[in-house]
Amino acid sequence: MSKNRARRAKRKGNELIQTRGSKLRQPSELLRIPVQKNANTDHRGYYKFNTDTLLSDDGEFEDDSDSDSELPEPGKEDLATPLLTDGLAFEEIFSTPQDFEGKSVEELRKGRPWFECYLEYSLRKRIQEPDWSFGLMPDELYIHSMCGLVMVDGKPEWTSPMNFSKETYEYFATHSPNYVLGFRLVKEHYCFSSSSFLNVELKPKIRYKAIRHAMDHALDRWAEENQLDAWESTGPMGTYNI
Amino acid sequence: MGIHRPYGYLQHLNYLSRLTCEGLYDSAGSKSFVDATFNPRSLVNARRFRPNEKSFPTMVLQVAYRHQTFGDLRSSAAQTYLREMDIQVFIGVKVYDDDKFQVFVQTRYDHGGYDEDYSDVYVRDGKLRSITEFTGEKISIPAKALCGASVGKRCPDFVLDVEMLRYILGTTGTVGPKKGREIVPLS
Repeated sequence: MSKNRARRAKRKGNELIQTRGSKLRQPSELLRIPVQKNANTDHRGYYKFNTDTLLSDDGEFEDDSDSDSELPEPGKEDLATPLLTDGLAFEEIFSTPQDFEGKSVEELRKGRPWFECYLEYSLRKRIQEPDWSFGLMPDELYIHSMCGLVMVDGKPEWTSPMNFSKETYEYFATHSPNYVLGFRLVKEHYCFSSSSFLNVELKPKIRYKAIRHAMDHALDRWAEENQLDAWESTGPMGTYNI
Repeated sequence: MGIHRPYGYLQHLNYLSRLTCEGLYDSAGSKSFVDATFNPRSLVNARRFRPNEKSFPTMVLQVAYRHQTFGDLRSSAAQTYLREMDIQVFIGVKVYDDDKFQVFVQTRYDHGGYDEDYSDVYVRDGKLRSITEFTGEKISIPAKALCGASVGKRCPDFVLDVEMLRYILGTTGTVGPKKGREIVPLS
């Protein structure tokens, strides 16, 4: 992603407005129910998304084995867990700056519920909205820097975008989930002179590993036919360890 | 064949840019990701001059994010990956929810000579294709971009078979040498 796009994402955050009158709730009050990881990654099999749950259960990296996954039978997906953010307005998902700024890894764990809630809320619309090849697509569907409400001196204040230090980013980058309803989740970090922020993006459900193997095979055949050096490929970078 | 080094290879050592399994860092410390990277093995062996520091890959493949437009992916490839990093070839794939996809290939071309920083980006756009229909589209990638100037002029270009990508996008199951399943174009 270009820096121009990142800057546009930064500007986008300024357009969000905090509404008043809603009751704030601490993230610790939001219970998280584990669900079975959805292994289906065929983008063609999920036109009608079941948005009962968005988050996968754990953040452990299994494999980029999109090609090895099996399609569950329609209607039998194990996606019955309600969202963390069901019934919550966006203003109710907040954290304090002390939760994640300048803290150690252990202390940073306090920010996890907020991060999960934020991901759920911000990605829900983007999963539901189809990505057609025609028409115009609003920017907010694919440009999303991490913005939100924080508690400052006991009062909620809007920050746009949230300033993620490198240490904070490294913590959240290793944080679950890596997949949201089978969509691969990518968290990119952008540094500028004045600030640095985090972008969350979703990848379509396709077989990345198969594409890489096929490309690698074609390159090796071409190199062998022309007596060139063999080629080496690396995996889907960015989803290997995040 | 001689050892291939990307153009501007030594320049990026000054910026301490590096490639890790976790992502691509640019000189500002920003971290972005691609879906696959490809390198000649001789380059992989040659560039390990320091532990934990590598050069940028020769070719990368990036699938556009959901709701990211084709044009945005193309512009970001030219600005970020080909001009700011030393990546030579960028393959971009945009997959839509309505069984359509589009591929482009961008190639970095250095003019060389006294102005080493000056480089152009050549773009080859594929057409919007249906995943369910056979396509005979092929996009050629210059051998010089992939293997460096040491490649002779008689070396043919590498041909990216768009039908291969379409077949993978349009089918389920395992495709690859491990399972012994061949990629056969649909007629």
